[in-house]
This record gives sequence, C-alpha cells and structure tokens, in this order.
Amino acid sequence: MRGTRDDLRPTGGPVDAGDEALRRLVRLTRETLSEEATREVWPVDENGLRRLQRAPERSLRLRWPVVSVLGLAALAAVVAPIGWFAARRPGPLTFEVIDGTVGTAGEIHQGRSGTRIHFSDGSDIALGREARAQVGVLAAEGGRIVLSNGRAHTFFVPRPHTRWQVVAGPYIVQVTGTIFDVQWSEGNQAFDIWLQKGSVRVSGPLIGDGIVVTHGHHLLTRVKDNKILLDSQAEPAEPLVAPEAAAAEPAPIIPEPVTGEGAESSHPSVNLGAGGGGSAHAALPARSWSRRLARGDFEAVVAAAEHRGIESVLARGPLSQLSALADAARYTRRSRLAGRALVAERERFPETSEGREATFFLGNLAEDAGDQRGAVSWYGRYLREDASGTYAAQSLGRKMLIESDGSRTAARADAADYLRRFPAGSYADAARLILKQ
Amino acid sequence: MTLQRDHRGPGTGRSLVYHLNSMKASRTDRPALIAYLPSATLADADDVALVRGLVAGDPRATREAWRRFGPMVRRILLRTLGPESELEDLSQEVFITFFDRVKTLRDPRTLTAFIMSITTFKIRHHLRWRWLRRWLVLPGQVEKLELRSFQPNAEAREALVRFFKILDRLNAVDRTAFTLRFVEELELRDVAAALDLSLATTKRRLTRTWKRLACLVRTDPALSELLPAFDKGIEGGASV
Repeated sequence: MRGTRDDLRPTGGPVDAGDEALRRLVRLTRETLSEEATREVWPVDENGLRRLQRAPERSLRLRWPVVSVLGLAALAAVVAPIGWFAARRPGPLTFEVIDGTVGTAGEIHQGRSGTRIHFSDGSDIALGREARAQVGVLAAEGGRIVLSNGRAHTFFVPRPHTRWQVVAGPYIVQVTGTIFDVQWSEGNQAFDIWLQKGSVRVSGPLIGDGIVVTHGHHLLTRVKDNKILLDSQAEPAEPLVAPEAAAAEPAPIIPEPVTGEGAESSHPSVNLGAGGGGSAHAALPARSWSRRLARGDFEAVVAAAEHRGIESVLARGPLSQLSALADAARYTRRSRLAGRALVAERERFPETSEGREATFFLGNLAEDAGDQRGAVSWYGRYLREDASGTYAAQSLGRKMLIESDGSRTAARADAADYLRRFPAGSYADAARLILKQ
Repeated sequence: MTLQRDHRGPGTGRSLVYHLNSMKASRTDRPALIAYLPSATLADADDVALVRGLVAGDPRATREAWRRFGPMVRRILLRTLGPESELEDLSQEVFITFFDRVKTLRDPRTLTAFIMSITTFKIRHHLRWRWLRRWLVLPGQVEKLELRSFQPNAEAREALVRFFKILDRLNAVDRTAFTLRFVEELELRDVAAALDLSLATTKRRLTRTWKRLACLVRTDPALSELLPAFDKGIEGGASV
C-alpha cells in the first residue's frame, strides 16, 4: 500500500531548490507527526470511545453551523440585492425656493425679483412676475407643478424614468427631460407652451389626449374662442407680456387661428390631424410608431399599420402600437379607424391607464360625430371606471354641457358634482351657469 | 446491499448468521452466508472478522476498531490539517460515521480503505467548512495545538507552521491528495480510491500540486532560512 521514497516526486524533471525544500518539508512533517509521536501525544484511550458512545448527537453538532451558514447565505442572497437596490434608489425629491417663500399647501409666494424653484435633481423653474404656482406631489421620479396663472420657464433634467407634470390650468404637460416656457392665463383661459428642447405631451381642453409638441414649436389654445394653433413662433423674451394681454390679442402672433374641425388643413404648421403626411417630419428616420407620433408623422403611423394589417394590429399589436395608431387616426380625422383602435385598446388592455383613457377618447369621437347619447355614455363610463383619472374633469364637463341641451336634471347634477370636485376647473363657469338657470 | 439477520437454531446463544446480499467479494448474484462465531478476543481477528463483529454489534469489535484504526485516523488528520484543537472532534466524527456505515461495506477486506475514505471525506468537509468560516469571517477561530510536544526544535516547528500555512492555500482535494501521497506515502491507486477520483485525475492533480507547492516553498524567504536549521532538529541536535 505504501509507495517508495523514490517516487515521491511525480515527474522526473530536474530537481530545483523548491523541489528539494518541499521534499525536506514533507520529510519533516512525516517524521514530526509520526505515528509514534501521535500515539504518545494523543493516545487512543477508552475514554474517547466512551465519549463517542455517549454522544450520539455529536453528528448533529457540526451540521448546525452548516445549516446556519447555508441559511445565512440564502438570506444574504435574497436581502443583499434588495438592500443594494434600496440603497441605490433615490429618495423623494426636495426643492428650495429662491427669492420667495412656500405656503402651507406648497404654494409659492413670490419675492421682489424673479422667483425660482430649484429641485434636488437639478431641475429648475423660473416663475414670471404674475405667476402663481404650487409644488404638488413630489416623488423620487419627479413631481407635479401646478401653474394656476402666469408664465414659467422650466428646465427638467433628463433622467431615466422621470415623471414630471406641469399642470397649467386645465392643461397637463407630461415632461421627460426638456426645456420649455409655459403660460396659462386664468382670466382668458389661454394656454401657451414654447418648446426649446426635447418634447412634451400636452393634454387638455380642445386637444383631448392631445399632442406631442417637439422642440422649436409653440402650441397655443384659447378655450373661450375654441382656437388651437401649433406653429414655430419663438417664445417672447422677458419681461413677459401679461398673460391677460397676450391672450386678449393673439392676432399678431397667430396668422390664421384654427377654428373648429378641419380648420387645421388651412394652416400648414398645425399638426393636429394635418393631412400632410409629406411634411418635413416624414423624412425623419422613425424607429418606432411612438417616435413617429412624437414627431408628428401621423400619416406614417397609419401607413405602417396598414402595411402590417389593421386587423392584425388591432388583434395582436402591443399597447404602444395600438395607442399610437389610435392617436394618429384621431389626428388625421380617421374617426372610424380611431374608434376601432380605441375599442381594441380598451378591451385588450383594460387595466392600463391607456385602456381606461380610451373610453374618454371614444366619448370625444362620438361627440365629434354628433352622437351625443353615445358621447354621454362613454364619458359616464369613463367617470365610473376612472373617477380620479386624468380626464375626469373634462369628461364630467363635456357630459354636463351635452346634457344641458337635453336633460336639465342630469346637467344640474353634473354641474353640482363638477363644482364640488373641480371648483376652479375650466368648466366651472358653465357649471355655475347651469345651476343658476 | 441488505443484511438479513436470523438465529441459527435454538440454544446457540450469540451465534448469528448474516446474509450479505450483493457483496462485491462474492462476485455472485446469490446471497452469501457469513457466520459470525465470536471468539474470546478480537485483537488478532482479521478485518473480515472485525467487520462481522461490528455488524453484529459486538462491543468488543467496536473497541478493537477504535484501538486498531484510531492511531491511523489521528495521524492522517494531524498530518493533513496540522495541529489544531478540532482534531479530537473530527476523529470522533470519523468513527461515528464508520460505525454507522460499516454495515454498508461490501468487501470486509477493504476495511482499512473504507475508514481511510471516511477520514478523507471528513477532512475535505472540514477544510471546506474552515474556508467558509474564514471567508464569512465567522467567529470561532480554530485553536492551534502546541507543536512543542511533537517537535522540540524551534526552527523546525516554525518551518512546519509556515508549511501548513502554505498548505492552507490549496483546495481541499489537492491538499488531501498531497498528504496521502507524499506524507502518508500511499500508492497512487489508494489515494485515488480514498478521494473517489480516477487514477489519471489523481496523477494530474498531484503533479500540479507538487509544482505549485515547490514554487510557494521556494519563494518563501523565511523557509529558506529555516531549512538548514531544522535538518539538525530532525537529527535531534537542537534544543528548544
């Protein structure tokens, strides 16, 4: 069983100092820890055997540490990533107001010179002289800024998954990372936004789910006049024109205001349903339908859907494509196609915000088509399904106005409900009027 | 393998007959019959008789196995792991497993290899546990035994301590294989059997381990100074 001393080294190569030293260390180990020395220092006695026979649980003793270590390792494997992500996850944003103060409800009281709101992620909002603003909800990903009157110059730091919202009157500006000026005149119900960089999605009265406004463009809406315009007008330099004044005299900066349906075709810069699929946007390389939509290339989105097969998109297309097709169809006044896309969106993705909002746009489509009962039905359904949704105020307001032509009782009930829920909303005056009658 | 026990006739006292099925040694599909007739003492009994006694639960066989294999188990533990305080526990672990598993032994003639295999298994398990404990920085540092009882030469003791530190850098299998082959001087096939490795793998591992250790030893500055001194220690010329 034992080998010979001559075969100690596994190879027959030249003997170097390391080999020789190792050979001597092996010999030292063997001779120091010899069987005789072991017997002498560590004798095998009967006591050891008795201990062995008395301790049947010994086998368990060494296993427990293994079990605990494995348990700890498993726990660490679960907890460590969570801890790592938790440590990396930024906390809610904070903000400071420069040359101004903050009220108890988050409203900003302006100082003598230009007031600024500076956020911990580097985003910044400079308020105009007449501006009334409020910092609403703040989270790690962004927050909601309410501009109830006046103008603000905003800069939002582009970051992944940011969710900023600027609520200017009844308009909601969905922001990622961008620079823009936004203005809302409460008295004249006038909304303006000038994009310097990036893009935003604006929704609100007249534009519904709205429109994507890209850099270099200016979107104007006048709710009272039922006017909407998208052009390349540069933002007015500071000092800002008083919002009321700007709203009262839109003519100089609006070559030909858009009024009602089909009017957009008379103005080449208006992207709302512009039939001009051959606009400059079409030449841009589009990587996805959403990108094309964001660029205002609505015709290309519809063409892509037709190329793939409308039925296929409606039945199997992902939500983003379905949503883009519905928007593009609405903007290009393909009401039937838009309606089908919205119904598919609603039926296939009922749990998503897009799916719920499709109900509101179906109401819009029905209203545009003169189907008032259908519109009331869709608006009512939206209010039941998403009572606190983005378009709740508009749904209730539109429903109230439609019903005011027929069922006065229903209109009064809607008006009361509207004033209770949205006392400063864009349909508040109409609601008060209905209640007075 | 199954063992079936029955009493061979009335009044035979402790005479028992065991049917060892599938025994490797018998090389037959038929159950083998091995009779266990205990003698007055087991000190001179061969491994086969000892296994019979162990399987029968004879306390004298247990004592004899403890006495016969205890020094070998301790020596291997000591030479592989170095002097540390957990050796006693490990030794007991080996025998607990041995007494528990001896009935699964197919060929009683391989008893020595069987217990050596259990010992190497425990050593590898212990080395891995020691590594894990060190890696996780768990409390319970292994206490070292006093080497003075084994080696009176101070330089030689220091050289041994350094050598065991170098061995700590090997993985469990390589370290065990190295000790069995070069310190215990076992045949290659016995090392392979004890570690449950193929002969080729064992050779390859040993060659690699030797080269690595030779390199580590050569580059250890303290060992190169200690080597001449401990040669004297082995010859017993140096004092503590």
